[in-house]
Amino acid sequence: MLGKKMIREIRGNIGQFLSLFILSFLAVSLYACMKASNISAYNKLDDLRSITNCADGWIFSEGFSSEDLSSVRNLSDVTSAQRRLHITATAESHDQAQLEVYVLEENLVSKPYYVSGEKLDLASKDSIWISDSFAKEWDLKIGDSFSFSAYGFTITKKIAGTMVAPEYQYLKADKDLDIILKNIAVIYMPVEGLKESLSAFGAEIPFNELVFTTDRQDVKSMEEDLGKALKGNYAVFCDRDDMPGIRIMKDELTQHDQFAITFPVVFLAIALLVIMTTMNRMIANQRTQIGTLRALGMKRRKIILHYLSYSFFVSLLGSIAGLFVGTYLMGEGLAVIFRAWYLVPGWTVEMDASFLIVVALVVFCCTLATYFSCRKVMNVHPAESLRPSSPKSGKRTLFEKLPFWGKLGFSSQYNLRDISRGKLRAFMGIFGTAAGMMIMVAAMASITTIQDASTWTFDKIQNFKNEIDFSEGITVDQAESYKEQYGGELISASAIEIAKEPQASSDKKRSTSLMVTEGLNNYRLTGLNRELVELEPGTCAITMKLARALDLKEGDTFYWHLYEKNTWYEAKVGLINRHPNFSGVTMLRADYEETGAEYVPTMLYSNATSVDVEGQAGILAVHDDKDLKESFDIMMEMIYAMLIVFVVFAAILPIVVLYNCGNLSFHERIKEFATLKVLGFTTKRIRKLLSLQNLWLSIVGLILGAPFGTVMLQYMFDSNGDSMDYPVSAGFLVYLISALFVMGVSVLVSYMFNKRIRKLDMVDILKGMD
Amino acid sequence: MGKTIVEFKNVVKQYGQGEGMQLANNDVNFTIDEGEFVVILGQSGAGKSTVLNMLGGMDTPTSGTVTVAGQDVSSMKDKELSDYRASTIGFIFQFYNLLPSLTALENVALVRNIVKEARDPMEMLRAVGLADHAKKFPSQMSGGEQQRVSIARALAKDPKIILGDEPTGALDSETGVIVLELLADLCRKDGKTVVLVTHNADIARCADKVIRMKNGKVREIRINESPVSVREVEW
Repeated sequence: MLGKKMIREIRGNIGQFLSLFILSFLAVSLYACMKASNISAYNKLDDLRSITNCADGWIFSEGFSSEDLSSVRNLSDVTSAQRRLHITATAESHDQAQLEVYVLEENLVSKPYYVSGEKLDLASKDSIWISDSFAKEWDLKIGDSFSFSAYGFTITKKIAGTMVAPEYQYLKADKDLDIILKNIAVIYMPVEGLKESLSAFGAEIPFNELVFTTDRQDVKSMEEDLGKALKGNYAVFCDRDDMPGIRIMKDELTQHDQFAITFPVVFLAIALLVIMTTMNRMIANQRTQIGTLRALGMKRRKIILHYLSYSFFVSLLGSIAGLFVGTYLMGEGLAVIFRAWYLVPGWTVEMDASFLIVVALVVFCCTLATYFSCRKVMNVHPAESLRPSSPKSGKRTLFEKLPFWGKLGFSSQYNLRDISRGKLRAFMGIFGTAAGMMIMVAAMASITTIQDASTWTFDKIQNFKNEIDFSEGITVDQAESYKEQYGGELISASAIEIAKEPQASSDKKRSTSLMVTEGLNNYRLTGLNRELVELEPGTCAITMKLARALDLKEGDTFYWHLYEKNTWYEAKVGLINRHPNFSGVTMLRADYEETGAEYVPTMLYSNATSVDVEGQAGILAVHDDKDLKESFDIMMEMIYAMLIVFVVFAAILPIVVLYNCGNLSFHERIKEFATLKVLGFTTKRIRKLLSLQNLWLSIVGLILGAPFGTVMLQYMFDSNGDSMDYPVSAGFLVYLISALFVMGVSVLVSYMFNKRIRKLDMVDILKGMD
Repeated sequence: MGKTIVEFKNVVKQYGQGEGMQLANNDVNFTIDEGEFVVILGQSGAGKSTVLNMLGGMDTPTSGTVTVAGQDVSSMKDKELSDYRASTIGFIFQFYNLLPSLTALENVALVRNIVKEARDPMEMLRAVGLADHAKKFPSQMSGGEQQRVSIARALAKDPKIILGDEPTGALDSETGVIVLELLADLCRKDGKTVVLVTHNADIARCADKVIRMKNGKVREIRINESPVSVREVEW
């Protein structure tokens, strides 16, 4: 019987319970959406790494001997190790795609994950195994011939199989600004195949990488042992966090993990406010009914359980719906997007025990909030609760101490007193609108921030029309002749390691990039306030976030070495600079050459309007400023997609909370409104009275929520890692549009009550029944 | 007595349809003159509150006409009814219906938001003997005091007709007499038309006219040639 009562009363208060359903749905679905694809990614990555015995450590040098390999293998913590040659080659056709070729003498560590074709045969002289993503893009079949150039020679092999390389979840060609899988592939080739094609190598292959697996958790702590085993004969030692092919996806997953907590917490907090206010009202209204049930002899426990069941079942239904929609619809949608960027076989969506914990937590919190609401009424003596409750006590409010209180009109005084009486309800309205405003500002500011970063990049930093990318092996003379032909500034970009102290241990070193410019103003530096600055000769510029991470200030000394070389150099920080997409060190060519390190130009930034270098020696690609701006356009497209989701959430929150506030306020004051109507107030006037409060709460919410929009967006941009520096930019228009949107929602909600006020049954209400 | 201010002509009020249909008023006819003190008497379910609600512009008849001060209330739209309630009627409820978040004075001053020419709220409170309770909230006053504030609120609009739905129903007899005396004085001294609905036959002794209702019909309309003073009534 009580079940029927519950269902009918939920139906009678459908607005509030629908809000509770929506909020618990949103809390769980957002968690599930963010987590489901992550859990699957983690599981499939574990599978991939376990099947392929993916390396835990990478050591780079100019060449490892078999003795070096034995020494590393003999270390107690090393479980398996092998050496290999890594060459970056270029496809003969296929748009001169970039190829990361691994020449293998053994197949023990970072083995291929086979997708089709044969298993790796180390004895094969004419076979290669190629990335499945590349094969699909170019419709390459098993048995097809594939040619590529390395060391100036053309190598042609037969595709024996397609695979996923376990070290490359993230695969982007150097010439590309975004992931374009048809422009890059990983190739595994047996060493016999290379010997066959390049007789120049003879028996001596310069194995420049040594990869190993270990059971030790802190891989970097092995550096001392490895250093001894290799007698210091290595340039760089990396763990998985240093490898971009692995790290970038890990950063992305970590970002999702953070979002999976942050967003649901906001919705859960609002859901709790809705429950507490809704149940408070419902139980207060049912005071006489509760008294009757108790007078009839129903146990206190049973009555409490009855009222707990309202929010229990509604939040349970919302949570379960959120669990499945969040996982299999929203989560799968997210996985579809990310599968196009990251290469993880079998990546889909999965649930784990944490999903049930979240559902249980949401339902528990909602039910607990109800318990606190009904506990108070249960403590009232049955005889007392059978009588109508005494009139709400009116008392002076804080607002009445305002010097202009007396000058306020009836509507203002009436609403201010009502706010004092329903503090929790008012808080809910403010909090919900603030959250809506926060999301809306973040959404709008994401557009202006990207536009701002684009202007910063193209109007300040990049002062050229074309970027000419040189291929590996170009000589300085060739590069200089291109510079003479097209004008501009040569740039050399390379990977380096940097530390504040000399001989720093691995945990104090950072892998980053070095940009060597000629100081000719085609590539300009911007300072902390994004103003144009110049680099003083003899010093280096270091990007802000990297400087912070290493605790470096202007005037400090730091140490660096090229990734593949073991020679360390000392340098001085002359400038802390900022760049939206570059993190690292910038130095002038003259200073670089003074160190004695080999200068290898990688790009020419030119202002020539027409650059026709296709097919010319040493040229890899040419990007004009339109191409470069395209990456921002792609980012903008992503932002627009995100914007739609944000706008939906930004609308749902104020609608749900303001509707609830209005609804609660309406029900709490229904008798008063009926009285006012009898006294001669028009429907319009009463609606205005009701909406005035929502309007105030909305305005306070707008003001409080607005600053957090940029904080939230900055947090989201910063969670992308240190390689991005996007200072959030939000102008007046961002706040104006966001405020108009949220206020529009608030006005819309107030119109929802129009019909109810018009249909207010004065006769029934004024009979004084519950 | 003055001219006719209220006329109920062939008024029928029906709730629901088919088997669940209920006839709250069935062919009700009566008139009330200006300045009359009228009591509509009847047991619970007699249809007296329905008459009062239609008279107060809170409900409309299914058929028939209700004319008040020359206006056909039965054909008014929502907005017109609001204006009618604002300008013509002063309502006094059984449970007072004061706004709990407003003080006594503010509850009376509320009518300034409804009618332009409202009377001075403090003066109205003084008239009901509650000048020293002006700053009290309803929860700080007794039932009788709250009802007197309710009367002050009704008076502040300076309405043509004052309607009371069991205005003494929730009060003890001593307080009830004070309230009733106030209402009678409004009629006798200020010339207001006062219509009270009650099931208490003793109160009817003070009225100029008694309309007795039963089963939704007017059973008797009696003119009291010599109404007794409220102080003489006991209930």
